[in-house]
Amino acid sequence: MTHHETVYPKRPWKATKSDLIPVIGLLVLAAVVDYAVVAVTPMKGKLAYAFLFFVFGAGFQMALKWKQLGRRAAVDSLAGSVAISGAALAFIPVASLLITAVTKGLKGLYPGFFIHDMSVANYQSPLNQGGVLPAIVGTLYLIVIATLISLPLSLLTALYLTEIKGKASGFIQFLIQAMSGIPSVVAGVFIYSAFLLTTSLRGSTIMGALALSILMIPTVTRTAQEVLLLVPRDLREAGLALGATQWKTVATIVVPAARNGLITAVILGVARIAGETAPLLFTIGVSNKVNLNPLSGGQASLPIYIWGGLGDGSETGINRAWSAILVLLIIVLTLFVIARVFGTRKVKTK
Amino acid sequence: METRVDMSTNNSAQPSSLAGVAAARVREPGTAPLGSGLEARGVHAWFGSHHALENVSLDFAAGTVTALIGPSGCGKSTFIRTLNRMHEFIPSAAMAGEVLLDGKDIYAPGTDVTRVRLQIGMVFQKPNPFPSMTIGENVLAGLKLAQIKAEKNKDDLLEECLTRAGLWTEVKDRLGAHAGGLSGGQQQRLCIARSLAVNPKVLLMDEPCSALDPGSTLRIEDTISQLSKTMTIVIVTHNMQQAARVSDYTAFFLADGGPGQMVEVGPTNEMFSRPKDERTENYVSGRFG
Repeated sequence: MTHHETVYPKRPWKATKSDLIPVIGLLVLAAVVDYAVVAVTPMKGKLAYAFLFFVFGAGFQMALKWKQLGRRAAVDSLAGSVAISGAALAFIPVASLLITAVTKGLKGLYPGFFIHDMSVANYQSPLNQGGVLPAIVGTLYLIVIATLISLPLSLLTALYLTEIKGKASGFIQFLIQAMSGIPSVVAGVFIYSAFLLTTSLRGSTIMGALALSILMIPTVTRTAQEVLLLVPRDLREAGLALGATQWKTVATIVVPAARNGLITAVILGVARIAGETAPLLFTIGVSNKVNLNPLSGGQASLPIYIWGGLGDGSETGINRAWSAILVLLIIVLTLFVIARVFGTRKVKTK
Repeated sequence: METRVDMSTNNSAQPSSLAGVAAARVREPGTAPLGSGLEARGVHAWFGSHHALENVSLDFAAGTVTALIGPSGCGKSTFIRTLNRMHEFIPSAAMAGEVLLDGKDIYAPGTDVTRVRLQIGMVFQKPNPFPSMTIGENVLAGLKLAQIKAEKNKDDLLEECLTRAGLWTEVKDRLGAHAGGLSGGQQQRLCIARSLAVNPKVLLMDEPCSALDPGSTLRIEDTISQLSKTMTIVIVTHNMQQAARVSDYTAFFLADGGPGQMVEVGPTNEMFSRPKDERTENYVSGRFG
C-alpha cells in the first residue's frame, strides 16, 4: 500500500482561479461596452447602465459557456444570469429604501427622541424637542397584544385544517382566503362600527390590536398551515404507533417539528401589521403621553406618528416622520432577530 | 419471456451456499460495444473534516456487474456517489483521486458534469418517480431533462426501456396513469427504465432493492442480468445472496474505526468461496456485520 504520502481533500467541482479569469474579464468587458453604448446612443441614466450591463454580462457569459461546454450549458448560464438579475432588481429598491430611511431619519434623531413624549412639543417644534416614546410603547403594545390574540387562534385554525381535517375545513379555508383579501382600512372600520360606534367604549390599544388581528390571523394561519403540511406523515404515524393520542402526537411531535416554520409564520404576521396605519386611525384614539393601560385611554403608535408628521407637511414634521420610520425599522428588525435567536432550536452536531 | 426462464434456472439449481450461488451463475459475455468501462484511482472522500473513504482504486470493466458489500457506514454509498459526481452536492464534501470514464477523468477541469451524469446513470435506494408525471412521461423524462433527441421513435424507446426494466407487460395498458399508483417494486423498475432511456454507459445502483419484497427483488436482479449485456453496472447491496446472484466481481468495504477502505476485490465466486482476507471471510460467512 502506498498511502504514506498525505492526500489532501480537494473540491474539483469548485471554480478555480483560472476558471474565474475569463468570467471576470468578460464582466469587465461588459461594463466597458455598457459605458460605450450608453455614451453613443440616446439611452441615458442609471437605468440604462444597469439594464445594458445585465444584457451584455449575461450575453458574454453565455457565449463563454457555449464555447466551453455547448448549448445546454449556455442556456443554463442564461437562466443563472436571469436569476441573479432578478435578485439584484429586487434588492435595489429595498437597499434604496433602507439608505433613504437611514440618511433622512438620522437628521431628526437625538437621544431625547427615544425618551421624550409629545406633550410639550408638536410636529413643528425644533428637532431637539419632543420624541416618540409614547409611539414606541404603543407600537410594541399593539404588536404584542395582536400577536397574543392572533397566534393561538391561527395556530389552532391551522391545526384544525391540517390535523383534524373536520367537516368545516373547506368553509374555514374559504374564509381565511377571503380574510386575507380584506383592505386594512376595512379592518379598522369594522372594529370601529362593531365596538366603538355602538357602545360607550372609546378608542384604546386593545381596539387597535383587535383590528390588527383581523389582518394578522389569515397570514399566520396560511403560513402555519403550509409548514404543518410539510411535516412528513411518517412522523405522525410513528407517534400514533407508539400508542399516543392525536393531541399528544400533535403537541409533542408535529408542532415541534414545524417549529422553525411556525416562527417564520409569526414573523410574517408581525411584518404584516407592524407598519399598518389605516386600521389604527379609528381604533386607538390619540395620546401624546405614554399610556401603559392597554384597556382604556388613547394610544400613540409609530405609523400614526409618521402619518401625522408627513401630513403636517412642515420641514420638521417630515424630518420627524423619517426618524420615526427609522425607529420602526429598527424595532421590527430587532423583533425578528430576537424571534430567530430564541426560536431556533440549537441542534448539536457531535 | 426470457426473464422467467432465468428465474426458474436460478431456483431449480437450489445452491446451498453463497459460493454455490455465485458459481451457478452463468453469464454470456457482453455483445454491445461498451467502451472501456470505469476506473476509480486512489479515490478519497471527506465530509467536512471527517475522512469517510480512503484510497479506493477499483476497475469496473465494461459489461460487468460489480457488487459493493460491507457493513453500514463503510463508505460504499459515498464511493458510488463519487463515481458520477453526486458526492459534491453535500455542502461540506471534498474528494481526492481520479475517476476515469473511457480513460478520461470525470473530475478534470472543463468537464461538462451534466454530460458525465448522462453517461453514468443512477438508481437510488428509495424509488423516486417524478410525482407530477405519468408512467410514460417518467420513462422519457431524461430526454427532456438532458435536452437530447431520441435516436428512435419515442413509443419504441418507451417500450424498449420498460421491457428491459421488466415492467412493460405490467404497465403497457396504463402508460398515461400517474406513477404514484404503482407498487414499490414497480416504481423502482420504472426508475430503472427511466435511467435506461438516456442510454447510459454505466448504471450505478445504490441498494436498489432494500425497500422491496423478494418477488420484486428477483425481478430487478433479472433486469440487472439482462442489462449487464449492454452496460457496466455497479451495485451497492447489503444482501450477500444478491451480490452472489447478480455480480461478476465483488468488492468488500470496511471502516475499522478509521475511514472506510476497500479490503478486497475479486471475482464473486472466489470472494464467497475462498476470500484472501480474514475480515472478508468473517463478513461473508456472517460472523459480523
